[in-house]
Amino acid sequence: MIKLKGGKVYDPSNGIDGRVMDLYIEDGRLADPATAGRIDRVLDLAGRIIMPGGIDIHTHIGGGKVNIARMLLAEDHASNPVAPDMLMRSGSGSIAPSSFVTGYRYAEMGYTSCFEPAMMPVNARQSHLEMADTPMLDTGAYVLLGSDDFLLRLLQRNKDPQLVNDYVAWTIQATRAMGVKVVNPGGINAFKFNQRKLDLDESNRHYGLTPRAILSALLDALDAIGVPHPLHVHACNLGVPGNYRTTLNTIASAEGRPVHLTHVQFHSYGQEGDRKFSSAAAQVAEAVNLNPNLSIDVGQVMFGQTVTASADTMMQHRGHVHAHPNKWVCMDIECDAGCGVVPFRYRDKNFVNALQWCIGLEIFLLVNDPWRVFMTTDHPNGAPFTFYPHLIRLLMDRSFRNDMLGTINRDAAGASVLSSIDREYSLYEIAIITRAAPARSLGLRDLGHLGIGAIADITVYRPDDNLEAMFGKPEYVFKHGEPCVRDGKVCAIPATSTHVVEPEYDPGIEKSLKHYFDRYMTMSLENFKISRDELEGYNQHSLLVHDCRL
Amino acid sequence: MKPMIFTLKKKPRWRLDLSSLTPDRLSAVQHITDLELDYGSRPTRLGELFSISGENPEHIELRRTTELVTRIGANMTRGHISVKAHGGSYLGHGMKGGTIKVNGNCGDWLGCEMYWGRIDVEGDAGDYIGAGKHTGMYGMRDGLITVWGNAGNRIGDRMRRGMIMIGGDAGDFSGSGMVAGTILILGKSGRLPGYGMKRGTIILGRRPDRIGTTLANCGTLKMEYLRLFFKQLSRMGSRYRFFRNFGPEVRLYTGDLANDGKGEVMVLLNRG
Repeated sequence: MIKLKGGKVYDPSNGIDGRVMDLYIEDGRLADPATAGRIDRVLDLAGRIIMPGGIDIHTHIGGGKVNIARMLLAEDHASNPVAPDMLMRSGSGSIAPSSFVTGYRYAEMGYTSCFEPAMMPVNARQSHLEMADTPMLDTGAYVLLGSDDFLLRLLQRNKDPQLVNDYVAWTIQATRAMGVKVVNPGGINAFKFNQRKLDLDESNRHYGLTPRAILSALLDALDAIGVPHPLHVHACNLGVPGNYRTTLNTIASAEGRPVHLTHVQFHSYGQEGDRKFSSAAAQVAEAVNLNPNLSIDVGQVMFGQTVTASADTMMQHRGHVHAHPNKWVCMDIECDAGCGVVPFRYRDKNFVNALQWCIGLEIFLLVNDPWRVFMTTDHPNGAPFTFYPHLIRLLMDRSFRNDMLGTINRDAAGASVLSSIDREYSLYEIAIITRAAPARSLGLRDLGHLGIGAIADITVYRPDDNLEAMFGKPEYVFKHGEPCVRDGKVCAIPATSTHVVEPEYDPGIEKSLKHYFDRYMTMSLENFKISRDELEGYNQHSLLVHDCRL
Repeated sequence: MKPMIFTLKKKPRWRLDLSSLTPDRLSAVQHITDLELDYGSRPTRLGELFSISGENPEHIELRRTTELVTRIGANMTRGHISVKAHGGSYLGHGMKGGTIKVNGNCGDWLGCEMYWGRIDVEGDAGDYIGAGKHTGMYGMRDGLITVWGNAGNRIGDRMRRGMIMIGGDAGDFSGSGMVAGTILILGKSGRLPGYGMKRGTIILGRRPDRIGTTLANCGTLKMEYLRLFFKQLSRMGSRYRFFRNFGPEVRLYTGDLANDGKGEVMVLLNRG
């Protein structure tokens, strides 16, 4: 048993806000000292800050589009090689790093679990293999539905909702997912029928379905099969000036059902001012405050070169004119959806980019309940995840934020209300938005907190006035109870696991699916399904199955 | 001062990166024998691989190199490198100035992504001369590469500016995806020169094996500027004097019409 002595603990799930207390780790979990065994090792952590391991609820770390991004930005990989040592394997890249480097860099910032938000059903095996090759991190994925031909056919024929439920549950199990994401509901499909935009109440030309109907069907299905994480929604009209109305309508269309809106920053643009681009963060934040069924992640933009990788072919195709360097990929992915990869450089002197930066921060600061806003940069779309320590400093340090505000495009800074917002996140709130809240939203009962019995994923920071330095270089990171990072450097490669849910479904659905697969898909139904044994075979991963409420 | 001469003590067994042996890098280090070179998968001290004589770091001579050496003169900005044996691959990669002279043959990627400077190869060279690496958007930006022997495929792939001259034969797809610049091939050339070229000029001494369907045949005509071009070339040294006899009559193809179509492929009709 390891004793972590005298650290200042921030554990929002258990209401512990900076209390000095001892923690005990036994067999990879937090233990009760009264019943646990002998103490083998004592770590004196007096004055240190202890939090649960970080959880990134939305980060593109595996799957086809990330690989395309890696290939497209070959120059980034050529200029950022990472040499192997006795412990770590080699890799490359800084924007969309190779899988091993991704794992090391995340762990070196104190993150222990990451969730890939857009796993195509047909690419599920490859995504899982890649995530199994992402060391240091527990992983999980949301399977992408909503533009897939089979679901749209079901909805078009207005079939029994039970069939939709079975199909969604079957897909989650077959692809070993943790939840369901919908990207531009029906829009990716509409793109295939030459529609170049699709608003919430516009009909898909081929199926005659509106995004609203698709959203509603999926919300009902997820509610019925009891997946803990609500529908992960990437709404219509990403990045279009004036799209905040669509966002508000999408929130309203949930009609009280639990829903998660992702990278909301890209969906909070107004159309005011001379340049027809303004911040609507206030309106969206107000809607978040008023709708307790809603949670969001921000998708903060940071300045510098990055790459946008999304399944939203429609919007990526629209944005390809801004590609920097000038190369891009948009492709169709079988009957499931599509994929678009456009490299992008956010410039601080550019009005639009600077205002995007402001909008993200405004959303963070104007949403009152930290339990419903999660910290993301939508890696790599807003910025690579390595910007997290910098982002935390922006949230926690008002004077630093205002200094940065002084360096960006002056018109954008003037158009934003950011300078008038006094709010600063506390360490407790940071622990909520990076740990406790994502864990609660995902239904991870054993993660994101430090109560007795929780999995001992723990990050220990050394307090520093420069919060960026503090969060960028944790003193210790424990993964499943084993120290794996020391002073911001990886010191051991722990075993990791994959998070999944296994909702129940009527096996009868496979009959119609079999017919569909034989007729339209590139692989057979039996090969499509990923079994538990297969997943556990990837790099000796263990499987963590979370309960569905029924 | 005598040129600094590096002689390989024995044949390398693995890939040997010689990008450190440039005038820029050598004049900045104190103990040259302690310089670390990437050899196979680990760095090795220069003194273990080479015997060294001479003292002028602005003029470097490399002896007994084999095809396993790579990146000679990469990113160099000044001075002269003379290679007495095989030039290896990626010779002059990204070089920004100075001259390299190779007495033997060269491998692939000769002068890829170079910005400025001059490379002279006596023997043959491999594929992708003056091309862009897979990681880059463009090939060579400027400079002059001369190969007196034969060359491989895809000469000047995506090249942006500058000139490549091949004294002997060339392989297929010369100037593929070329953006601008000049390629001159005096011997035979393989299939589909100028495949996907945007702008630029490819001058061929002989009719190629096959010309692309998207290159438009414009017939025979006199390109008067070629007179000036050949006159200038003939003044570059005694070896270039034969250009005096070349005439401006060519068969002209323009294209590639599939990609902007502003490039020209010319087959010389009058070689004196």
